[in-house]
Amino acid sequence: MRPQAIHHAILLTDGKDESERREDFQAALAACEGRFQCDCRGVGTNWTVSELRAVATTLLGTVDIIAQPADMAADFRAMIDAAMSKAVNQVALRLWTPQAATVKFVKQVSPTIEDLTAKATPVNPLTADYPTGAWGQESRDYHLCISVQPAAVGNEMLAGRVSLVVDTEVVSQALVKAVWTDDAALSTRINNAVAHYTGQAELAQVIQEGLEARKAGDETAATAKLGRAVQLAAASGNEATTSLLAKVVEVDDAATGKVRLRRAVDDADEMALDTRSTKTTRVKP
Amino acid sequence: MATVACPNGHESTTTDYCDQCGARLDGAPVAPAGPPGPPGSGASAEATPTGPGGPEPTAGGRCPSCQSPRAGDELFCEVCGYDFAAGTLPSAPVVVPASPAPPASAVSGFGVSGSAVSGSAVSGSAAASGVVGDLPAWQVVVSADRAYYDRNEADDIAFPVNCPERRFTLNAAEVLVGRRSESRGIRPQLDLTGAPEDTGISHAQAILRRSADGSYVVIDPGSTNGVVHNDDDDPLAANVATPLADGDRLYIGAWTKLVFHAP
Repeated sequence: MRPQAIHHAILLTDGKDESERREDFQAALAACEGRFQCDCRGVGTNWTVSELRAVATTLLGTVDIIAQPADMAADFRAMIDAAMSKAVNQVALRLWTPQAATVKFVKQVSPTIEDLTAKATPVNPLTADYPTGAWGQESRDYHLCISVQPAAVGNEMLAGRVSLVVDTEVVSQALVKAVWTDDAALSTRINNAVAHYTGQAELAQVIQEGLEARKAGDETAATAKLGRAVQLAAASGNEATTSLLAKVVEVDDAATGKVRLRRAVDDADEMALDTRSTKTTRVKP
Repeated sequence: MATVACPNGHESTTTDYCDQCGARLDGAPVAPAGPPGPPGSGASAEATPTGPGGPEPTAGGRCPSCQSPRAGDELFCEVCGYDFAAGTLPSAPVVVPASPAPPASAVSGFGVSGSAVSGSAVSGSAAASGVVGDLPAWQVVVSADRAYYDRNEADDIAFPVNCPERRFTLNAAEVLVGRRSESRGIRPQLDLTGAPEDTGISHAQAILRRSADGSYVVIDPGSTNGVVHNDDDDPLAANVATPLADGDRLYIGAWTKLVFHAP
């Protein structure tokens, strides 16, 4: 393999893991991790969303449904266009944190939600790299949570130094500062972007839990979770998700999250909602 | 490589903030008075509460204990339950023996009764002793109430399948009812965390305060979902004391009922 080349694979499937044992599947996936990126597409409705999502998440790719086989050509073109636009490979998000600090999580939150926390590779005792795959001309948003040691009011410290690293070269850097204050108006205020993406992460979670509950026959939980999802999607202006949700639930009042489960739901609509649940909207400026 | 000495004694290769402990160095630009750092630091940024005997209550502005803003003429701090009038935190100044077990005589008659209550459901201070000084103690029985739940239409909270009664003894002059929150430093004496947990209950839901005759009044310190007394249609107004008689009921959260029993 050419080390500088961008290694990219496309997985098309219309089925699911049938004969392999679950551990073998996991082992095969782990062996591929970090070697190439993989975009996954499920064709039709006889595949399993969670399975394909696991592949895409591990191999830093996207996952989506192609409900009609006729749409495969167009989707394939779009995927290749996206892949060809990538200019640099193996970009890492490098995070330095001070002594005695704990990294609670590192998440990509735009364009999709990807939890990177478990993917940390230590660089030195205070620094870790998180893989982000290949980049083109694009911008992505990340949400970090770092817990630091208490300090006196008025103190300021650096809680994190975030860099984008391409081939050991730092191409961009941002500082995360912690400032101690006794002004409750400051300490209780939540940054707009943090609030927005926290909401988008909850949206993805309640959709997945709601669909899970629906499958398990727990209608009360499904109605509550999907109602909350409708509320969050409407409040954040996530129109794509709002229209996908409307195919699974009847929306009585989006503002309060009052919904009823639809009796007859097309499998493809439900799977599209599930696979696209992690797509986020950009925070409004 | 040239290094810079940091105030904590580290040799840093970075000149803005120490590359060991993150302390600000002379080369750093002055921080703008903007929002505080990441959410993780928010918790650390909270001031440490001081116990009773701490600073005197300041007029209007803030809770002297946890520094939260005080809305109008609140009687109690909404965050930590600090009593602005008395200048005390709602921690139980109770005679809980530190020794392995409370004296048997203190428990008899008033303590936790029967097997309806599992050990974990009752917090130590509430169950440890049934008598306070010479006063016999009031009892509170907590259970799940279907009729109240149905009336609430709390769709997002399920009615518990199995909810054994929990029994608490009121043995302090002031008892906070709520759900424990370590991050916000709220530790109610009548703590309703633990399965089945009614998440409709605020961390600081209600304050029970003993009157001179030994009975209790209830005060809603401004909880999210309110406190309903007996068959009232509306919840109690915030920060207003309502006396409780033997057999009175309070409804909180989505399905929780508290019944008060005089000694």
